[in-house]
Amino acid sequence: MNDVGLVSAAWRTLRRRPDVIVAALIVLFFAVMAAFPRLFTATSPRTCAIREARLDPQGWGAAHPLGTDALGCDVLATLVAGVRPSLLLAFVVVGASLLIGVTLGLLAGYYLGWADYLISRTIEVFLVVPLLLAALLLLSLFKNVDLGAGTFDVILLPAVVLILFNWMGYARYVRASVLEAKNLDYVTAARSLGASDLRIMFRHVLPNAIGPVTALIPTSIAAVIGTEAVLSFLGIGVRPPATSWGIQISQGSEWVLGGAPHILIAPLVCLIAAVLSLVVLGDALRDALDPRLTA
Amino acid sequence: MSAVTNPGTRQASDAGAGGPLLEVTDLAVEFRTPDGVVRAVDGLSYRVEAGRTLAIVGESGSGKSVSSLAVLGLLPDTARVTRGSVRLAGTDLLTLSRKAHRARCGDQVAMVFQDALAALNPVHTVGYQLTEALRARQGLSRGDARRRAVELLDLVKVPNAKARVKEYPHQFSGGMRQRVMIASALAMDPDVLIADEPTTALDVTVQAQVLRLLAEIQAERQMGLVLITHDLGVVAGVADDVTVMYAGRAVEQAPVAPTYTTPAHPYTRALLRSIPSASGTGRLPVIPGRPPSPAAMPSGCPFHPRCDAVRDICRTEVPPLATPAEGRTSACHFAEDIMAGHDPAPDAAAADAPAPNDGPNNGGGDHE
Amino acid sequence: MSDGVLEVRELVKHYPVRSGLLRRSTGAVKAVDGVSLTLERGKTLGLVGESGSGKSTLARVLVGIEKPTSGAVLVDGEDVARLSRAGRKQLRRDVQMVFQDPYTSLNPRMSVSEIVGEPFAIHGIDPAGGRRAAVGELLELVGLDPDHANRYPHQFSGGQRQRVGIARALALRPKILVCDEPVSALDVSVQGQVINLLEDLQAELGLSYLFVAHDLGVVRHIAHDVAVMYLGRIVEQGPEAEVYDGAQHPYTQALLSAVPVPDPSVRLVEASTSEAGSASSSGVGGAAIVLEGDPPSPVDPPSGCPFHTRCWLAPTLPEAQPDPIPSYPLTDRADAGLRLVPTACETDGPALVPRPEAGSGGAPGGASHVVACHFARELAAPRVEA
Repeated sequence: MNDVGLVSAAWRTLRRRPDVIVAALIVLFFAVMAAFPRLFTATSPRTCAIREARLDPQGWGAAHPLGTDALGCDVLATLVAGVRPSLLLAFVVVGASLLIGVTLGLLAGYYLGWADYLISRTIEVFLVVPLLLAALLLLSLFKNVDLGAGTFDVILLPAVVLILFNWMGYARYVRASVLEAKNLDYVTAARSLGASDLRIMFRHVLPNAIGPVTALIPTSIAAVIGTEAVLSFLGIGVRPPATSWGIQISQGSEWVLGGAPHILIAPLVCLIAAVLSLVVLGDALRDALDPRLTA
Repeated sequence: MSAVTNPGTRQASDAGAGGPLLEVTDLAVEFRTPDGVVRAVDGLSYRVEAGRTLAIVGESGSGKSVSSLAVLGLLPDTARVTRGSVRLAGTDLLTLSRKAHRARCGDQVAMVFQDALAALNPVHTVGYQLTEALRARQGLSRGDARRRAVELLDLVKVPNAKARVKEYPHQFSGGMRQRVMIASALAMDPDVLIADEPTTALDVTVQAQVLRLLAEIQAERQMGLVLITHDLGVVAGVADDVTVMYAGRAVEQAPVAPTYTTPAHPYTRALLRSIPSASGTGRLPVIPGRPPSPAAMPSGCPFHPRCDAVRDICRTEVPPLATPAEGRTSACHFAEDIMAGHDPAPDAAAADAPAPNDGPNNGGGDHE
Repeated sequence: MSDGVLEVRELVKHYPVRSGLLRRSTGAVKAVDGVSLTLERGKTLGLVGESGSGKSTLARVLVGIEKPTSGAVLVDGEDVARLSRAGRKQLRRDVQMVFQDPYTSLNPRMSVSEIVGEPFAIHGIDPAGGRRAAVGELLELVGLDPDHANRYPHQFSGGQRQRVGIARALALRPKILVCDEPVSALDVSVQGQVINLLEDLQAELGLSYLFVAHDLGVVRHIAHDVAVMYLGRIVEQGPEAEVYDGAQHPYTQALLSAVPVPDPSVRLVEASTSEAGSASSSGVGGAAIVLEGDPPSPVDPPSGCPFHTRCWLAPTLPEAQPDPIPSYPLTDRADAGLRLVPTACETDGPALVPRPEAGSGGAPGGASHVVACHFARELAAPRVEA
């Protein structure tokens, strides 16, 4: 019942901040777009006419409201089609690396000794190996494997690569703040009461150590979407014919000075809007869940 | 050593016309907080004289530290001085720009903080930090600065000063670090030294060393010393005068000796009683409740909810600072009664005729 | 010794100091170096000393946060180390701890009812009437409003937080409370309230306290017996009145005289005398004994009596003659040759022995007054507490 109190208090605090409501609406908007792309465009992203390439935005109601890209595909249609893989990839990658990073960081910081030694060295190894090199290696491994064309299937390869090279940051942050939190008196108090390591870790250390990590999440979502574009050059990004914002941004950037900046601007605005909204939401959520800040 | 109220004792020659070195008058400081404006210091006045030690005593939140930050022009941006003056050798520092204020203080008023480890920069040697201001202002050469740093460490009795100027703050023990802080405060040869809880973090044997050192340096240079502390033992041991603060106000100001023998404010009396002593083995007399939050100040006398001699008038009227005896001031409606060691007459009697002690001074006469 | 609820025998706690590439153990911080003491049932043993004296480490060993390097801890006559896992867990319930800083000892993300109820959750206990009711009772016991159980620590003042900490420590109905500086972080006017609460609880629940503090005034008020620690060892121990009024160890004497007394007639800083040497003829002028320097590092404590490097008494003794054939090179210390102390102080660690001059025996049933000094004596006119 206490949790209910905290959650309803959290909701009360959220409601008082208009920027939070705007951010929530934007995130909701993209979520709907990912779930029901047909609501936003009737055009298929795959019907591209090369003679209609790089048309300027024509305004709402016209055939190509946001214009067309370098291959003559409708920008709005590709944008809408890219929401689902982009956001799904971002959440899967960040979620999985968070899980791995927090677990390993917690173990390393809490137990120190050989566990810390092992985990810290692993982190360093992963930091040293270049992402692209590892990506190429994986590419060659999965070259001839048919992964299918489902929503999950198209992001599987980039997800694996990105998770493998994304968890270290979280692990390091968590390890550092666990080192700090575990020597506080309330942790000692729990230990003197005979609490188990598991209880101390999850009740006392982690809730007070996770703060700096949550601040990383929104920006790393943006980074994941951007990195995916790079991977797509190597053929292990989101699999064509599926598309993503990352691919659109990297293609669009070639035409910024070629008279068609809208090809870049449209996906970039969407990415920035989504990330900023997540930053605001994450911030508000953290404040709302901290009992010290709810009067 | 009898407490002397005469301000002329051991007056420094360079203080100019025998006046106080530093005079704070009716100082008020407000803080902007999310819950509104909060008054942290309200009408504080004190004088610091050459060669004398003034102790400012109070609990956390009493405004004792905030007031000295205001004197030094070091208040955070959320705070504002709303009233009063801080006169240093005739100039009101509060009329100066912030920058000019700090510059003046840098020359003549120095501060020693409680947490020497936090106040010293860990990446510079002690010698460098000791002479930073000197080099910036007086353009000392490196060699001269080094020599001056050694002198300063010698002055505060850090053994082996020549070698230790090259060390970093973390290589010093707590007591030695506090000495370094004092040395850096003395670098500009100030007239007034404000020490904010300088020994609170130290062990008693080291505390005794540091207090003794402060007193020696003060006597030698005829400095004015303001000692901010919560420890009434320290006050009794080193101070000449005392200002007791409660909820942003000075509730009692007097020389130390009479304050301890015949406190003129119930708060001072209660504080002195609550110190564990050798004789008392039963329950410790305590002050009930806790200091009020500055955001929710009680009406009337701020101490009345915790006072053991509270009367009706205390709940409605703010007591002015009165002078119940020569050299004593107290912000209590019944200061004479408290000084005489008995409680004020009960309210029923006071309702018929004004209590006899309400007459003489201008402080207590505002019944009705 | 008859009714010791907690007994410590020759307890040693060393922390290895590792250095170098191979993290070889190159020495040890001798935090607690052979301490024996007995806590009588229903009584309070005050443990005083400066930072680095090992008093907090001793407290942590006693509540089981740290494992002793050697020595034994006996609770109700049972050796903790010999117990089974379950027995140790039971024993943890008997010895609980109250922490110094009420701002860091409570988890800011847990409500007061979760904090006070956590001991039940950890030990899987369901008290009669349910945990909620038990938490309410505990809060009432320490003088807090049970209706505030759903509040968070930041909504309480320092004194109230300390009460929450005490309630948590009492949840498992312990026999012994180890209080580590429980009032030193509190305002003067609030300290007394917490001390009174601890005394009331002792009377009501028959608790025994090990009261660790650096504030000698507070310890004098609350403790029945007092032990003085210096560099990991006990240098003087005995009933409160005897230790305070008839201190025999020069360190205890210096410690007591350094405590600022709230009496303006006892000045801590008298301008005239400044050297420790001249103050050794103390009592006469009423000046404090001021020790030189800081306590030495527990990594490399002085040989013999750990206090001899700062002792004010030793250089004044007739035995402090220059040794014609020094047992070790005098250049070992920077100040060697400046300070002359009796050879015994430099070579032999003094044992804790009863001093014949002491008011022999003390109160019936109470611990006897013991001192670890070769030359222990009372000051001519002890200047302790006016």
